[in-house]
Amino acid sequence: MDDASWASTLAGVRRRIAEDGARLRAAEPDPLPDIEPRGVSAALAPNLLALTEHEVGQARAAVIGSKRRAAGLRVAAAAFGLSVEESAVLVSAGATVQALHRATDTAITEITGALERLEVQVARLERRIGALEEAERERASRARSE
Amino acid sequence: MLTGIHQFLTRCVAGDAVSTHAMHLQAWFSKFADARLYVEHDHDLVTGGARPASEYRPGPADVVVLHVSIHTPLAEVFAAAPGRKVIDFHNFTPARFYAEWDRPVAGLLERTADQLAQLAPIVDLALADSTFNADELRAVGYLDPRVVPIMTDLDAFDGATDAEVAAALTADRERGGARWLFVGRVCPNKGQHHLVRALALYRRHVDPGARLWLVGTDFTPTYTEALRRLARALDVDDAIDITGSVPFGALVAYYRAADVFVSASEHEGFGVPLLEAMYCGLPVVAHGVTAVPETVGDAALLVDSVDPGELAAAAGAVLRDGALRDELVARGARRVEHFAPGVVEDVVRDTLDPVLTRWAAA
Repeated sequence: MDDASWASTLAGVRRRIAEDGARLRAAEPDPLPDIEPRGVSAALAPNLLALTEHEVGQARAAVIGSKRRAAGLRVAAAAFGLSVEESAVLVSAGATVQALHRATDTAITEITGALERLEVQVARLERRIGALEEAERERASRARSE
Repeated sequence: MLTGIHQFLTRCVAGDAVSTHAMHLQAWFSKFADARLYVEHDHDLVTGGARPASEYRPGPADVVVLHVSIHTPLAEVFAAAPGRKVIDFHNFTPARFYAEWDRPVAGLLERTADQLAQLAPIVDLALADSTFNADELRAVGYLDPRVVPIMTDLDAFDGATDAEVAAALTADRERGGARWLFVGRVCPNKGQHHLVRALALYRRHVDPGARLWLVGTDFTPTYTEALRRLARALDVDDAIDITGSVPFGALVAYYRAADVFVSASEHEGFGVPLLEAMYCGLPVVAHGVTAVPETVGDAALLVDSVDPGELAAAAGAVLRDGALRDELVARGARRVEHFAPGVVEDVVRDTLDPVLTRWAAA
């Protein structure tokens, strides 16, 4: 097929694709689900908060010591009962294996920042737990007095 | 007289496009001077005799070449080197693609643009894989970037297919239905989630036996996990194989066994797998953005969006229309000839030889 005929053929095919695509979409009663990130805050699950400081260090070392970050995240996740998202939170200081190995000032700053954010989250959860415990004590106290 | 022409790249890994390109250039540079590869770190993924950059000792008349695809500390070594400086730009993913998935990577990508711009005043020659990449270099202050396509090893796809994987894929095909293939790192900008949605639509309304093979390194685990959740939500988790990184023989087997290569990638500085698919005789459907149109020429069916309906309809058109498929395959075979080693070597020679000869005489 010569180039001019091919260009014309492609243009026709693309018109049909637009029509067929619209028909396929219209055949769906509801919009298709789309991908949804599970962000850092959602990843701060009880599993993560339950780790001891020593375990956090071990999990991070598992990733930092790994040649492949993705594999390292999975190893750390499996070893400590975390999701990969949770595992990623632990090593948010390191963007790539290279960055992790390099341990530059930037990475150290990010480690510090990540840990500080983690501490803030932990403190927030502790406050919430404390409030819930207080509410529970009051409820029990009221129940007893009634 | 040049004392060395040394390249710096973040890593040198078998099967990696930039690494392969750098090793080809190394062979070329060795005609002029001692030519070595330096990487950020020494670990066992290194191939091609690359050494860590910490071992680099500048010669008095060295040429240093920095490959840029992400923010790198190698830029400091490059900037401090006394000789002529060449940058080879492979583009980098806009940070916005990673913002929700991997904040540190997003941070690095944000800094890449600044680093690239800061290097512009000290670079003697700027190279880019594509016109798209060259335009991006111009936008941040590079005066006269030259386009030198990435050097590939497409001939290697003529070699042995992994027989075990090929047999497994043949058995899989016997279950019926079309087989879609995409090859590329599993990460947000490659748009594998668009393909999952398109496949779901295609199975529901066109071909219930269709399956999708996603081959490539698990680069962003948070994204990969979300991809699996999406497949479950769409009830196509049994119809999608996310293989992770595979050995080369297995990669060949996937290319040879698939019916159509479908790319929903939203950002490519070049797009080597598009050429690999064409070389292996697959018709290509691709989202026609960034450098994709100039890589595929008129040998792919380009779509304007990543809408699942449009992607599914495009794949369906190729799978249903034999004449369309045959023309795409024939044009694909001709397209890859533009990037054959001999052709790209001519570009390299025309671009680099006069410059290197001039610098050697200076």
